[in-house]
Amino acid sequence: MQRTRRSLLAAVALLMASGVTLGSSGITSPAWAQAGKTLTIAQGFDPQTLWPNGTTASDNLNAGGAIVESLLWTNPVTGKPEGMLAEKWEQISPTAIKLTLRRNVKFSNGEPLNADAVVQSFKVFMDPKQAPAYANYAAALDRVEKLDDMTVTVHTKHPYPPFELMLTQVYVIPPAYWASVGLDGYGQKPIGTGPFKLLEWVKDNRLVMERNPDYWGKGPTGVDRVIWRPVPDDTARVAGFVTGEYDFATNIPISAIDEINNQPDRKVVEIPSYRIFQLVQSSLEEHDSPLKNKRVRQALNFAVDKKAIIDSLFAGRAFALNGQLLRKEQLGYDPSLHDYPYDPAKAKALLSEAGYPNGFEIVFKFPSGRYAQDREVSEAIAGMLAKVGVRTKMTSLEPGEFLRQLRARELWPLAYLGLAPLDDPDFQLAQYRSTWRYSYIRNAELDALIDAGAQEIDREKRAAIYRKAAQLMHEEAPVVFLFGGYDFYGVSNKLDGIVPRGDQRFFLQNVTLKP
Amino acid sequence: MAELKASADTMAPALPASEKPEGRLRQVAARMLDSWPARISLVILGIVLVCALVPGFLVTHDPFAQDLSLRLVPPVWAEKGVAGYWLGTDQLGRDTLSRIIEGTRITVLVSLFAVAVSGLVGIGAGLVAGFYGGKADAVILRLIDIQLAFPLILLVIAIVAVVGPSLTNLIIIMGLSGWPRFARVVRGSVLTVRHLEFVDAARSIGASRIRIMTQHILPNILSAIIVYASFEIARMILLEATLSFLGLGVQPPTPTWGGMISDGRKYVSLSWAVSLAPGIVIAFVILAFNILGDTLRDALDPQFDERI
Repeated sequence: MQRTRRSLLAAVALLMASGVTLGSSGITSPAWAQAGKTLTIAQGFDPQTLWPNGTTASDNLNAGGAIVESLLWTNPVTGKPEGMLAEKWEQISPTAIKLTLRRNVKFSNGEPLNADAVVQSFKVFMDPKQAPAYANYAAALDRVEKLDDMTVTVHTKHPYPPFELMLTQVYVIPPAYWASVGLDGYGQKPIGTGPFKLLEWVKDNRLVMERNPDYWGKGPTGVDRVIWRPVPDDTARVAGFVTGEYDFATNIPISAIDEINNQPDRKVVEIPSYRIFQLVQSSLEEHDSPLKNKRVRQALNFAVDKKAIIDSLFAGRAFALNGQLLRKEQLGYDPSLHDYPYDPAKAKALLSEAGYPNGFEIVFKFPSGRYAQDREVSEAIAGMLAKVGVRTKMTSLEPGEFLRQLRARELWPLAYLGLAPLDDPDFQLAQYRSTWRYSYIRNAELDALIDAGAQEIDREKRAAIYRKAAQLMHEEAPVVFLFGGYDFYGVSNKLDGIVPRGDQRFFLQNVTLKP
Repeated sequence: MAELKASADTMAPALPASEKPEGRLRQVAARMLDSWPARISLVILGIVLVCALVPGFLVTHDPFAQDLSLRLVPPVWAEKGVAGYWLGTDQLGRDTLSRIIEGTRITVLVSLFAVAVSGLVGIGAGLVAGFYGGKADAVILRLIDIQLAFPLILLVIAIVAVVGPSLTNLIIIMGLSGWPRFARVVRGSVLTVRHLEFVDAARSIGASRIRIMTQHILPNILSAIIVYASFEIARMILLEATLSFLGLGVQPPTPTWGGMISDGRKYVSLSWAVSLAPGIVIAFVILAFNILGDTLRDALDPQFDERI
């Protein structure tokens, strides 16, 4: 009898585990969350460091950026670089930029913001040992000199078109405090000029910041305190957001959008992402596969029905790439290019021409849990490829291993990948230069175009170079051009003025929290 | 019917049933068929067996054929159900029922073989540890402690990362992940019987240690092993699901029950059937295995006759 009951219990438990995943509910709020005027934000992960130049991960930067500020920032509302700690910036020669700092700004420990602090911050930024994640910007920097207490000059090694974007990446640290705590200590207990100060950080549970009363700007309205919660599980994050535990939540899955929009006091904000999805088709000599043949790479482009993926898997919440990697808004986008049409017959013909009349078998790697619906998209693509005779041996990779293989150039022959570089054509295309650590194409002509674009100051000439590169890549097909993604944020109607950017960054400087 | 036949057989005067293997087997079978839950369990496992052997016979659709225009269709009796798709379709528009049937073979294969592997290693180690005691016991117990101290998933990920994912590797690794618990159960059971009179009796007539272990102790602890194995099968099905989810298990598009649950989990708010259907199947199959294990234990119990 007892045993039968145990079996039944096991069965019931299994049923529940299989069918229903309940998120944590927000019925009782703990004491630290009950103070008035509290803004609670749920992200996927707890930051590893709050020093923004420590990593490029958006979860770290969003939290760290509330305390430590950069010289410039790209305002997501205007899409243009604007002053933050630098009030003015002007190009005084093709390789020199003069920065005028904002006056009367103090770090929250009392140190003043001045040229010394900025020079010291650049010194750390340019040291590949301390800021390895930013080494490709720093590579263009030559030196930084102090002109007077509130002005500095930044010298680049060569004319560097995306210099404003580079300045948005330089975060300013207080030199005396940095010297006393060091890089790791600073990441755990940062002192900055931002609208918030660190109050308490319980790892993997909550990160609490309180308002900086001496903030130089207007700062947020109606917010005394902000709490960052790490919630890795999508279902739990959505549940917590719907029940009112969080005012703002990142990475809302597409399947939850309707549920949230049906709530009277919450909504989903859709932001076109900088992330460009593609199938890597390695053509490197050392990677032996049918994909070394250009016709095979083109055939795969014809074989994938991009529109079906966008329309059904993403319910229209993704955008077509038009056969290139730059977005419509970017300099160098080529309106004359179009997506490879979905044409299985043409794909089969190209495969026959290339010597594979019966198709072939190929390893297809994809991440599981790195991008929205990565597994589903990969399976759908594998099904489409099977229809033209390309039999994929699917290999799913855990996200950490996936990134390791990407960087080690082991992600071949075929792989599903989404890349989200910063908003400049050079950062997008440099990823396909033969010397880039995870480039899977080696093409001298393309390398030359990328180098030319990286140093051309004239916007029109630069755009022409990138259009040429786009045409070359369309023809060479180093990837299957798939689609651009959207990011989805859950936003409470009480919250105003929070505008996420396509690189998943958002800022609290102008936020208003209504009671 | 079976009961009558069997009891008639055991009453045959020629030989006591226990000394005639076929007779003993029939007796056990008869006892098992005596209970309704066991009969139902056998029917369920029979269906599973058929699905595993000839899936092509039963599927209504190609389990791999995608139709993105028919995603997440609810079961046929629901409001928006589509005729022919009895349990609806999954996130890529594949027929859920056909995928469950197709997935039976690989799920059952992986979990049964994994239990067999862990049973072989665990029973051997447990017998030796319990019977010999002393140093052998201490060494085996420490090995068990070492492996149990390791987080299971981490251990499995580490091994798969080294040897690479394949079906054979998966079975071996899942099997080896379970041997310590098996060994502990077996060792505990051995300790309770090793000082009983029948062991002393066997020893006194000069039976070898191997013979005592395999012929005298093993049959007496078999019931515990069978019950534990039935629970292990359930655990292995779930472990396979976890590993599939981490990308270390059976690779898509090959369906497994566990993999279907973890794939469908993301769509629970849109279509509950995608993961609930394989979930119910797992639940019933595990229930069947457990009931069968319980009944089998009772039927195999040498003291069964005295108790009633």
